[in-house]
Amino acid sequence: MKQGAIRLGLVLFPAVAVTASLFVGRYPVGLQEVIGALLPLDGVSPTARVLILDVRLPRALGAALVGASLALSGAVFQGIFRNPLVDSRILGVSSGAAFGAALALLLGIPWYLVDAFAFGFGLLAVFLVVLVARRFGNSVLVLVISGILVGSLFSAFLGMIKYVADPLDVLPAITFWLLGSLSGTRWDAVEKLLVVCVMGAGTLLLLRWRLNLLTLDEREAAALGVNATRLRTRVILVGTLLVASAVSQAGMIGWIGLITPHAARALTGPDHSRVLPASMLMGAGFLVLLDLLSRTLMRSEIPLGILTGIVGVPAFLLLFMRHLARGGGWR
Amino acid sequence: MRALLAVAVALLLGLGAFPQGKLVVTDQAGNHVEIETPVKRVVSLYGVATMYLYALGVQDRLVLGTFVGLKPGSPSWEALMSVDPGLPDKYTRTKPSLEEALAREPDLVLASLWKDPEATEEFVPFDVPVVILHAEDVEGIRGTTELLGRIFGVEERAARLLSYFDAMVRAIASAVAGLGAARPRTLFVGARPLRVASGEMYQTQLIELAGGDPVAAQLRGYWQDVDIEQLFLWDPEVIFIAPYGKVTPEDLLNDPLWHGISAVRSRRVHKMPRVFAPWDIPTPESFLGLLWMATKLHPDIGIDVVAEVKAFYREFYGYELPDGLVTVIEG
Repeated sequence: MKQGAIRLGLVLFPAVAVTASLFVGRYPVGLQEVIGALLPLDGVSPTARVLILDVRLPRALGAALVGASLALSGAVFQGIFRNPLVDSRILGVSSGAAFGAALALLLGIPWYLVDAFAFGFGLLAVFLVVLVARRFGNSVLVLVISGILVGSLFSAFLGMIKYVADPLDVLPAITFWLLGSLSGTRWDAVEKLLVVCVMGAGTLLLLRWRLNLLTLDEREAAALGVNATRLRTRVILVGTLLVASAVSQAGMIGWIGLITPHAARALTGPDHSRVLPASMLMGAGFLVLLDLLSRTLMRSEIPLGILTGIVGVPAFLLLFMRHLARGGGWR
Repeated sequence: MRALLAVAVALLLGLGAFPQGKLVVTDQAGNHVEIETPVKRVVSLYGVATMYLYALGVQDRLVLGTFVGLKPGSPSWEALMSVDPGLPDKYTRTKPSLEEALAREPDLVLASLWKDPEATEEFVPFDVPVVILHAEDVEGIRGTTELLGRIFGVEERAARLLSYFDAMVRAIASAVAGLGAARPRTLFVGARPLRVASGEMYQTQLIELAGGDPVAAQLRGYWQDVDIEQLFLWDPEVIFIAPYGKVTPEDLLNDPLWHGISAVRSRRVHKMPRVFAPWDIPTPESFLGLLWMATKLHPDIGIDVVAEVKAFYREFYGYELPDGLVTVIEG
């Protein structure tokens, strides 16, 4: 009964958030016009129609998909590294993607290829990490250390690019991208995000039982017939795809991948078959709500990466304190 | 012993370069600066100020300087080369280090109040006077022009520059008043389509002087990223795009989302030209930016912008505007 209510709430959360974002924005669009644009009915001004169908809707869906991808990857990474402090940054994906985007902006590559660069370099970073780890025994420790090293290397390259970038045009573009934003998310971006998110979520959900085994000791897992190394590599690649896709569309958005899985675990318990979908739904809902704030609070946009930290962290601190006060814990 | 030697050397050097004159000026940070004249070797840490040396015809005194968004080999580079063949040796892409600056043996350093307020202190131990400048608005441009005119002994030319500007502001004001036309709602876009100049920026002052109504005047700070809904709310009738960055009028005109905006529907979207420096940067060339804006905002104003621009470059820079640039300005 209680689980049923939680499940319903989790599904409703992103749905309500997306619906709400259709009705809220800086440009006043009446309730009837929003509904009229969606149905679609006549008598809706062209401006309102464009705003609802081509600005607010793709942006809200984009936020949901980015949030879901980041939260899901965070949840699986925390599981396979048996470490609750892990998120997408652990394997250098974010640093690689950030460097890729900055490089594309520096070289003056067209806008629509910037996300491809981010995606490619995010993958390259993890590829390097896995390569190093494979060479040195493939333990979790080696993976984490090589992840930190590769990530730091790309961060240094990124710093170099920022240093030489033209402060009039290139540097602001890089900074904007690094702070994270869903501004200008159109339907083509939603399609790209959807494909990766569906593929990634599908694969990970199919693996959900075996993921539980990865939280065990490697020898125990082997005794149960699971090749931990191979499974881990596979999961890392899928998680990386999810992060790279999210980062390449929305820039650097921290915190969601780290904390949402904890909130999900607090609600559903540690079983991956429940934590994964719960993380996705919560990540989706939260990012939609935060993006709603980012585009409505002020005349100018508040970068999403800043907002996730300022609004999200205190909110979750409260949540955790209540959870701990009730004697709950999480793995 | 060593101290004694140092004193002796200093005395000798001092005798060798016997000062021909001493000038005490108050710079734009309010510091009293003692300068030995004539000033022959200038290091400029402030790209905007560097451009004043060219307008005042003293570019041969520049030994090292940053510029404004200048890339070697670009059309602006070629243009500057034709009035200053020594450019490659004095051009620096990023701010030079203290030692790099000292190695050029400057007898004056120009720095920005905004970026390098501590430059004065930095050069004190080396007995190099620093003049802090703040050419970020009309008032600042005036002060910078007068101050540099005095320092380089070209007061008459500085005065001519300023009276040219004053005459232009008056001419535009009376022409706009004579037309009895409304002030078009105007937006100034930067290196991204949704990045706009705030009310505290020079670009907004230019719009006002050119007879436009700056819609983003209430934004504070520097460039601001806004949501497209905010743009719909403002509904600008004219959009100017900064000379730097990759945004083109076609980007906006061909984007169906932007068709809800008046300026796009009436195709009044213009990319600002640049010759030596971008015309929206507060250098003397921005006087032409103002003129150009006025003719775009009020096409019936009766000013021959090409003739004016050609005459300005001929008089103040000794530069004949090539046909390629004439097309850009007419465009």
